[in-house]
Amino acid sequence: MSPPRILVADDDNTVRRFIVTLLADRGYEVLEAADGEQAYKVAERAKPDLMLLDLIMPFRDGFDVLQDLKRSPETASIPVIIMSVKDREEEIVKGLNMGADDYVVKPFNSLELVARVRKILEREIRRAE
Amino acid sequence: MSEVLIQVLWVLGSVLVLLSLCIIANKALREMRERRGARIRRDLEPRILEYINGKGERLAALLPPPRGMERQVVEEVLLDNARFLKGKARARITAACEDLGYVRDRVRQLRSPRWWKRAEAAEKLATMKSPRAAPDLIALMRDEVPDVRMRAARALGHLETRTSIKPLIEAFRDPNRWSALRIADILSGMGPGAADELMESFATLPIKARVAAVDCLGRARSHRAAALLINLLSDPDRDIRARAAHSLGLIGDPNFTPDLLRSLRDPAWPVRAMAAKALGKLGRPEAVAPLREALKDREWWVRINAAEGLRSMGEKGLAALVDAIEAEDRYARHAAVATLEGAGVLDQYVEKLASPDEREREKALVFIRKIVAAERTDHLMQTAARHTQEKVREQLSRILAPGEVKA
Amino acid sequence: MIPLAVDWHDLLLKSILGFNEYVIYYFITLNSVYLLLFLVSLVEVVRFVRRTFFSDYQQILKSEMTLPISIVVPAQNEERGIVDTVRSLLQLNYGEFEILVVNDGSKDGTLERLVRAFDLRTTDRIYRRTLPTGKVRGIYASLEVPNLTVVDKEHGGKSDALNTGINLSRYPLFCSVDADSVIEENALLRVVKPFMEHPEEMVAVGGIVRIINGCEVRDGRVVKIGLPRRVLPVFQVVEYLRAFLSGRIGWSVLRSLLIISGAFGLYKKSEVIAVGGYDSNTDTEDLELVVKLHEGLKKRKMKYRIVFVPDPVCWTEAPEKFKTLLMQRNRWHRGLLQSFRLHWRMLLNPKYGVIGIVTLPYFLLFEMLGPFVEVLGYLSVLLAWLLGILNMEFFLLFLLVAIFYGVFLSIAAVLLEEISFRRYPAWEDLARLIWYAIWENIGYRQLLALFKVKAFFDFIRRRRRWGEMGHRGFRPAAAVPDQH
Repeated sequence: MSPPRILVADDDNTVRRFIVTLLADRGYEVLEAADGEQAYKVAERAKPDLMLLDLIMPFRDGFDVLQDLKRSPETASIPVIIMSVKDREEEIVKGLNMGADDYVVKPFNSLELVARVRKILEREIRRAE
Repeated sequence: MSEVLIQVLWVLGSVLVLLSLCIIANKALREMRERRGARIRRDLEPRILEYINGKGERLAALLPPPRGMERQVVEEVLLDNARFLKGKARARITAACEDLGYVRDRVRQLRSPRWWKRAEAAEKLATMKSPRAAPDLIALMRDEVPDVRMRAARALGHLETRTSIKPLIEAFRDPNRWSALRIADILSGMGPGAADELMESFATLPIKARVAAVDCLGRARSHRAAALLINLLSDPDRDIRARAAHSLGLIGDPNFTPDLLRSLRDPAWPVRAMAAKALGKLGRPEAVAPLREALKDREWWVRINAAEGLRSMGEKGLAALVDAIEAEDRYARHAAVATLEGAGVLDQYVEKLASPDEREREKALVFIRKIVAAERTDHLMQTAARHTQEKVREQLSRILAPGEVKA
Repeated sequence: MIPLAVDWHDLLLKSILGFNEYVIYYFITLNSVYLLLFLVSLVEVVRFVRRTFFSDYQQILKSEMTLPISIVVPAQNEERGIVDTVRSLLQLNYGEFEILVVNDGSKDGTLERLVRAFDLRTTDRIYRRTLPTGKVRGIYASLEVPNLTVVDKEHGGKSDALNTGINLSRYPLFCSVDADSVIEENALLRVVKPFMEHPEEMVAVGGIVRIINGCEVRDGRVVKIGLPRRVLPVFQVVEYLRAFLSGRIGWSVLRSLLIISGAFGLYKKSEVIAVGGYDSNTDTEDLELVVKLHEGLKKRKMKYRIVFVPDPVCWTEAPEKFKTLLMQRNRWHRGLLQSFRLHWRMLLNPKYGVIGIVTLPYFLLFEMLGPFVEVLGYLSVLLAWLLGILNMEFFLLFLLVAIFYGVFLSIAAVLLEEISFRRYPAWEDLARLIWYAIWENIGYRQLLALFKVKAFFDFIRRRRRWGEMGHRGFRPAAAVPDQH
């Protein structure tokens, strides 16, 4: 079975490279997007098994991308974990209400992130059965 | 004379050419350096990232000892990643910085004769978060250059050790207001320990610092500060009274209500506004009536905070707002309607117009007529024009037609 | 009588030569003042780059103490780009801010486009008409974008629109933005920093305006920076580098900054209201506002600061055609003269500090009288040559001070740009910048001097062609009235 595909959408190169290393080491296949438009396009085309979405990105911010993903039936089922420096209550609630499966605030704990990713992927597998 | 001139022209010409060459050389050198740096980074980064993610005990073991530009690049990679990480990974970065001598080097740089080098060192140490730097950073808080002091303060704030708190509070006395604000930011992120120290030193702080200190206590949600804050509600300075009310709201104990109700009658409007906001957060029923009174306040901020406060108080609050739509005071009416609009209550009632239940419809009509009587019909008119359901549009248009409106 | 005829001829020659000498002194003085400003700016820019760390802006972004900002965008007949402008403003990296678009009686679809794009509904806002303005027809708010407000009013001009925006703004700071400017995403963080550092004293902050011609823009963001293809805008790029980076910063350090571009400026609302807001009595309302602020604050003997941040904050379109450039510079110069006439009492008046004693005389001598001296200077050199009395060494000296010195300063400005912000990374661009820096002083500057002379005569004849330009929307405000 092919390894699960995870899409990392973040405009910060360093963050992306870190997460790619983090996840690739654990056997995931990682796709990257550097801005909002790219994030949507790649999600639509590649239909990853999970998406890590930054909020502050050029061209379209994370909330816009999330909204569009949830609107289209093909992409609505992609689980999304928001990862952002925005840590205010309103923003976290907004993200979760918009359909994100989880919200991780930056700075984040890398082991925690991996655990959350694994949990969601396993849940999806169970659902598919 | 012309020879002199011609020579001057030559000189100037050469200066120009030299200047252009300088620009070009500068750019070329920089690009070369950047390219080299990028190459080194590509080479070393994967191993550094592996280390951060848990591989091996020491980074020094995974890499050949970095020299020259490599040292710079490795430090850069470590610090870049430190920005967005916490927990074990972050601790490993700190360990690597100590291990490879970066902390030691930067601490030494804290004594540089050039102020921007000192500031840079403090800045980098803030990200490294090594407690070994604490004593030197504390010493740097007495630096003559304010920028350096600020960065030292910030670095100390990141260290979160008990020893950093006192010097930071000392720095609160800094006459520069910007510094006081930043220190307030730093202290409020340092947890309850800082709050306790702040309370102890409170009496000795100058007025400007006190305002920031009060904010800190609120943001730190320090319940132990409650007694002090309640006392401050009677302070002669109005800013302190206002921030004290705000902080009490942040701490959120409903028992503060009686004191805040008194502040609701404060002669200074910022205090009233903050008291209204805090009361809304505390949510006690005895605050409903006074907040409704506050809807008539002369100052917009107070009215809005009172209305928002009522809105966040659930059923009783909303009922008070609906009631206020018919108030005699125009300001109160406006504030009430604006808040209800914003809360979507108006739209809810409009939807009820389409309900099959007769009683629901009646209730909705009554409510809407009140809004019309309050002379705030813009939103209703918009809805009347656009609503998807014919039935709703029809009823709304009838109400809004001049005949139906009671004076 | 024959002796008299000879005298007359002789007199003419003597006066031409004498004037030529005077012109030499003029150019030496002018360029030396520029050199001084450049050196001051150099020190300040280097200092600024050294003391600014990325984390500062991060902290401002996240701090609860950060001052909220009201952005006011006056718009007239901007249907083409207004929605994009608002969208890009909404993307600005900042904590709490609101956007107020003031539709100044547009005859095109500006308002309709906004209503459609943001699902605007009419709303009621009680506000105090602190500043007198024209009639407001309606106020709109958006449910999905809570911090956007659109004000529809009858046509009253840009100043009127700005004042209306000020009346309706909620926050203690307001930022004036041109409808066709593209604002950098961190711009607000950058211009608010001085306010955070000196909250009681700071009254206004301006930032560097760059030229967007030649840059690739997508979705209201500049994605790739490049120099314009055409010659005229490239001259303006060099001119802006010299005027902003090595000119305005210098004035700012000397505490006598007179111009904050209307394309982007952050002001303390209470002080602007105290001087009566924007006026419609000059063609460059942004210049007039800053002069009024200086005058008012100095009169009240208050400690204050009006500064310039060396950071680039805003991109604006430069005229590509000769005629447009002419109209733009004409308006700027007329506005300068109008402001001067209104505030002549500040000239050489010690009550107004450095501004009265240094800056205003500078403007009088080098900005207003200067173009005449220059134009006449070139003419008289030409005349001397035609009459055969031109001295070779004099001519060389003239070349030296009028042209070479200027080239030196232009290239120095390019150098300053290279060591600080480096917005033009391509080698080709750098080469073109240096090349045009040379030619800017041979033709372009002289052209601008001619424009200013013409503007002076227009000013005398009181021609204010504001209405004629009206149909193309508001022109970008005064960015470079100093430093030709």
